[in-house]
Amino acid sequence: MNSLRVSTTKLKKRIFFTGVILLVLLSALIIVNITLGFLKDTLRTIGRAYLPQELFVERVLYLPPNFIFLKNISLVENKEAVNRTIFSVPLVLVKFSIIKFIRYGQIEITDICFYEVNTEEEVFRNFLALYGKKVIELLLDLPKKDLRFIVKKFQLKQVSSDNFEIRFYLKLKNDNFYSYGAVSYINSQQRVFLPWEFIAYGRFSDNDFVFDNIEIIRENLYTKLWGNITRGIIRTKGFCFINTLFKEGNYIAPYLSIKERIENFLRGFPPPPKGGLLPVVDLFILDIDSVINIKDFPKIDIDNLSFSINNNPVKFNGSIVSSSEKAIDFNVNLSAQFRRLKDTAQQQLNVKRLETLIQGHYGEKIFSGDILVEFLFLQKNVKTTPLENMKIKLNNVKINGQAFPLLTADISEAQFNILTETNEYFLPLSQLKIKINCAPLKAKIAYFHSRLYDGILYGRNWIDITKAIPEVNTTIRYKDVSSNKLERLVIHFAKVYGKISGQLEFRNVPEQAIKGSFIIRNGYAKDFEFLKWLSSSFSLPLTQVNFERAHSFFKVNSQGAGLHKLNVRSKNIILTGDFWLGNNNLVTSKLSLSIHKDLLQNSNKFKPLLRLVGKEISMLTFDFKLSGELNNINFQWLESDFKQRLRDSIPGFVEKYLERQIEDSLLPLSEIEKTEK
Amino acid sequence: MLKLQYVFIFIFTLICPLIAGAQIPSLSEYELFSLASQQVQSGNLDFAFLYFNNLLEQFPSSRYSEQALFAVGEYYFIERNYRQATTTFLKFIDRYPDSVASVFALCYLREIAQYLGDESTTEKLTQLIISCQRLSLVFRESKTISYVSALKRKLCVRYFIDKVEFSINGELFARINY
Repeated sequence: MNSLRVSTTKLKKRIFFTGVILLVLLSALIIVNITLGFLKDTLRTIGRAYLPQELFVERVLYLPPNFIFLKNISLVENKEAVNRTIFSVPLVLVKFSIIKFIRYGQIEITDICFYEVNTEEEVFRNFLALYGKKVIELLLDLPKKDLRFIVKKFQLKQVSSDNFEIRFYLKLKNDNFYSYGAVSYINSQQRVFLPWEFIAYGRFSDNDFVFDNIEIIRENLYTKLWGNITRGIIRTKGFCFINTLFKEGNYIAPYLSIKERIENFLRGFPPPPKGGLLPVVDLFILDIDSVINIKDFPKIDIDNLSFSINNNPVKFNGSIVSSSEKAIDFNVNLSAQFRRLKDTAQQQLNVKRLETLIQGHYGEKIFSGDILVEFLFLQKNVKTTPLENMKIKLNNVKINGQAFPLLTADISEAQFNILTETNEYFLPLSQLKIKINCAPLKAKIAYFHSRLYDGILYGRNWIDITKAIPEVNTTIRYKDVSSNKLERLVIHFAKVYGKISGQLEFRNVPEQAIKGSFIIRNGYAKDFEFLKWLSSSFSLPLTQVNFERAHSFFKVNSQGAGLHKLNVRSKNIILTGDFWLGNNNLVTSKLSLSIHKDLLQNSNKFKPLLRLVGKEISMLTFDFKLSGELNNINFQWLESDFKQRLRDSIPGFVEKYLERQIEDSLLPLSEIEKTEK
Repeated sequence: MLKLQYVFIFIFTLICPLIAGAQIPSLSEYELFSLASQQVQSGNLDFAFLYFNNLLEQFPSSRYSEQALFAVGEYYFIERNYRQATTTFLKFIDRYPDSVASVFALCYLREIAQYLGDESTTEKLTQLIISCQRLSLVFRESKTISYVSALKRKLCVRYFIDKVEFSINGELFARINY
């Protein structure tokens, strides 16, 4: 009985002491929490020292043994009596080291975990543009202690109600850092795109920030970079593999087993992504080497940015200045070298170098400025067109990307200068409008419309950029252009007057070739040297030939250039046939010239021959074949009824005399052709 | 018979350097050319070659040197000494660009280039041959140029509107289509 009484007393004592301890602990907890309440103001004061915005913390709560919860943190802009939240954080968990607290009585933070951060892209971008430097200063002023920093969900809301979700893990130990995470894009229809995952690690000191490894990983991309940031100069090296044919589907997060879920819970964050080579790659960006100067930020000087795209070296330099919160000014120079590879397909691309100069302004997804693009070509080989240089000058360009992936471009003036081995061509366009669909499709299609002198030009350009050598197919239609104004494009048009319309098609596969057709209505050809020769040699009034219709198909390829089914019809003359000038400067042509009897009546030389022609025939047709060198064209009058009748009516010696006469008369023509050329 | 040939070649080999090194004095350019022509008539092209060569050395500006130089080139071509033939024909074209025979020299050079597989030279020579003549065929089908070389070979070229045909002694030697 006694022993029972003793044990009851002991139990009562234990309960009492436990109660007292709990009371003390509770009191301590309350006191600590009340004390931490003042931390809200401390944080606010620290914030004020660096930023003009107000930092609010609704509640600070301590939970044993080493957890501090900060609830509803927000940074608010309170300018002009308008409270605008820059970002808000519903919950932050801070952990501190118990050992250090017990040993030294210090609260040393070891873990910070932001469960959710909400901000708007535009507000956040403006905040960073204005106070980014100060935020960095604030972070650098923090005591350099080992720390684990986690952001579980950073929501960056777009104006278009699209969202970016970022999660990342950062571990600082001594002077080393290790970080990984992912960026996901969710569009306004709540479609989740495949995330961009990253891993980065390196080290830092007072003046130096070395990143030993930055990996960006996606199903269609793998990038690896390394370098350093020293005194405002960023030096980077690396490479990138891309599968441009990848089709973006709806992203479904990978299924996790219970074990993996428990591991993630214990780790407090998903594991780092696994890098590695992609199964399919069609775009290799290698040998990335850059030196970027951000000393005078927001001005960024790209002293050098070089890399190779599918073995073609590209060099980039210039400067970019953020002129306002939403706009940047460009002055950049891009230079790309194209190496000829050994396989036959690539031999056809004889582009040696590409030079680009872009000067302008970008803001609100609109670029405005001037662009100069220059292509330099390799010396002609057998299979390529004889291009030497192509310069494209675009003045007053406005490229609008607000409806991306649809890009529109308005160009006040576009000048194309093309230099071949023998000629220089010039094509000026004005009020050029281009629409390009940049959606991730195999082929990119651009539609364009422009003024060409007094006429118009419009068409479509199709380009398959997935190939090592982009496959291009361009269709152009032109309408009602004064043909003589095209003399800098086709020299022979200088003496042809009338409105020309037609179409042409350019393709570079299987070989570079241009083909098309043209028609000139109600025009005239004046002062053509050939016509002059014809009129002076045969006393025909042909210095000006008015025609109702001149039509022809044309073709330019690596073998040469020529007219096919040429058909010029006038009241007194019809010229039909084909004319081909080969690369070896050799002509192959078959032409048919029909001259009306009325016109031949005027010629002293032809008049006597007209009696050989039947009265029922109104036009005399001369079929002839041309061959040989362009400057030394051979001529053969082909067999015809008229020729036979003429042969039958004249003796042999006259035939020879005529032969000689015509031969002599052709001599000056060869001189004419030389001067025409 | 075969033995006799070997004996002849042996004696010829011994004599050749002597003849080549020795001057033939007291012979005029006409006499040298006549002797060479006689050797051609007799079918002794080797001896004819020596006379032509001698003529070219002694009388480089002779009125016979054009024919002699072409004959030397032809001899080398016949002997398949293409290097010497090329040098000689190039020298011929350089010295006598307006000669009737220059088109035949070009033809020989083209044949050599083709034989040696030099496509670009063949192409250039083809163009030169094509542009040699300006054709205007009103009633005729072709234009013919003939030349009898000092080696008594009847060379003939027929220019058609789309081809050139070379023949030697009536046999087709080369055809160029264009």
